[in-house]
Amino acid sequence: MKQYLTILLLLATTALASPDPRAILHQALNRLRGPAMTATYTLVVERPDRSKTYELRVVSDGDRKALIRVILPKRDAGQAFLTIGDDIWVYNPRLGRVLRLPPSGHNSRFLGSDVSYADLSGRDLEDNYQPQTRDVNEDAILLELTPKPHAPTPWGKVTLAVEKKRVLPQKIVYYDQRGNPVKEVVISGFAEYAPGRYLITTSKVRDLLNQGWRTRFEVSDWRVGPVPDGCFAQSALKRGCRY
Amino acid sequence: MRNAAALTTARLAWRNIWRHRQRTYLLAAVVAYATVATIFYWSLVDGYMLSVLEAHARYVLAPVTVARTAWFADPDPENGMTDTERALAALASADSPPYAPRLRFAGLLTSPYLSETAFLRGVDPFAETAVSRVPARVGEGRWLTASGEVVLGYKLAKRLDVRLGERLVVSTAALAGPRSLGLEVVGLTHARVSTVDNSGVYLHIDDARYLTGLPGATHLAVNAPLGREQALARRLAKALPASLTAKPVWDLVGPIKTDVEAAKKLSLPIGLLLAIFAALAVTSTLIVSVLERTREFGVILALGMNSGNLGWMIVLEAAFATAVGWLLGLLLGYVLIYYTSTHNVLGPFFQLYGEAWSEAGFAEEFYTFLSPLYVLYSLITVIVSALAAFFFPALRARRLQAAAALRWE
Repeated sequence: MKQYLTILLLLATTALASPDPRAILHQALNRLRGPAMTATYTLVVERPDRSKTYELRVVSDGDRKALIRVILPKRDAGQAFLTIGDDIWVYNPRLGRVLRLPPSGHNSRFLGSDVSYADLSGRDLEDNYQPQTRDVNEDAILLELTPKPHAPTPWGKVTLAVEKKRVLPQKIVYYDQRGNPVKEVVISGFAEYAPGRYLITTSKVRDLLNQGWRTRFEVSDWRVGPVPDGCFAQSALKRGCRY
Repeated sequence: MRNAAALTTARLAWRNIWRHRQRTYLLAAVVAYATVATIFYWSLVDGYMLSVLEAHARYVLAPVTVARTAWFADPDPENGMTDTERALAALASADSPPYAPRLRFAGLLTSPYLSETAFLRGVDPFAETAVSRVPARVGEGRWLTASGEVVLGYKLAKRLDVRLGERLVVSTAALAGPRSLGLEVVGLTHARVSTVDNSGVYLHIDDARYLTGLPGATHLAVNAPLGREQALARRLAKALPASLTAKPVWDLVGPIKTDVEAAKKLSLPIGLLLAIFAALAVTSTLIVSVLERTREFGVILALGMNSGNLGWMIVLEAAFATAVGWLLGLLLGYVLIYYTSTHNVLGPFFQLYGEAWSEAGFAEEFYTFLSPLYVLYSLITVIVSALAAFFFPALRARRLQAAAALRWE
């Protein structure tokens, strides 16, 4: 009996020492995606010679659905984006029409920033990649994500640094297939909206191929809680979502 | 007696053209130039047509394409063949040459650096080798062997910055919704045909079926010898089920066909223009010659030649001088087009065309065409020159009176 207990203890220790990379990835992405909520995002698109600031109202179910509405600047206000899984719809107030974004548009820059429409939707890092633990230290875990066979991703690999204690994503680096880093996402601010539950409040995306190209996100005025399904209907693109 | 007079007139005309060698050389040079230009132009037009036809038949499309009538009107996968069995059975019963299924669709290619839309072609890697030269023109890497692979035109690969062994993402709006697939680049084509090298994307037909949601094929590519496409298409069309039809490559090349036909139609006014240019040169030289030789003609008339024969002598002089130029032009023209039909000297010019209109299917190698028919086309120069000589200088000579001509200064 004592022997069994020793073996079980050893197994448990080993399991704790090398955490399941899939579980870590899943939890980190949940943190990245955030809870079901309504929030205001300030998006600053920086270029070497100019900078543009957007204010967005975002409603998310915390999973695969999100409604994004541009509040400022005035000339872009009213534009809205609805993502449901891999599908994206765009509302243009000048045309007064809702258009479904074709797949060819998914990799376009969202509002001219360094994130694509595809980055806004889905859980690509979980769906298309095989995670492996590359490094574990006292504070952080480094996951290396390699594409699954025939996965629809152009990246050679993605690394994800996760804070060990709270499983908060800290840094994501996208590499091309020659091992060169192409894009970097640094997450620097979190808010604990409930005990043990976190929301990313500050992050920065850097285009590593173009010097001085950056996009900053800041989240404010957030309200966590379930969002009605009506907020993710196409009609919400036009009229918005109030609940 | 009349034959003897005609022979004498001809001999006099032949002797006369060599009495004024410089004038004859000038006439011959003008006619030779017009002849060479006519031959070269026709050879170029025919070569262009054959080059485009060959490029489309062997690289871009197929000699004969079998598809649903609706697909020809709107080449979208939703108008493709969900079941190819009936079409294949019909081709087999019509004793068709080799054929291969293809699935053509529009999609988005994404590399880590760039995205680009393209028309992709799903092919059966083994059957495709019997109907297309593209598999043999893979300059780097290899042709497709299995699903999960993609072969790209080398210029497209350069634009996307993808290399052999790297993954390329293909996305499309399939019949069942958006779909994507990561494919390994296994080969780069160096077909030297603008459409293939600039935008060619070839993947396994199973991958194309997954991406589009179409279980069959959009069309069948059927092989045929060059020049036999139309006959084969007609024969196959009779054997096919009602919803399907067969079209020869020439019916599918789009604006290129109009371009070639326009060039052919243009060849008539251009040929006539060259002939008129030569005829004007011949006529003006002859008019000066007739004026200069008025007293000589007076002597000839005084010696007993009638004015009708004198007129014919002038026409024959024009015809002989033109014929000498024409023969010289034939020689030079055929040497030129023989050279350009065996050496790719015009390729670089057409390569520039290919760069500008990459979808037009221009080949980087361009050869002119050799045809005995050009002899007839260029003969028009001789005929027009002789006619011009008949109407102006010869008529003047016919109206000459011996006494008045002898007093001419």
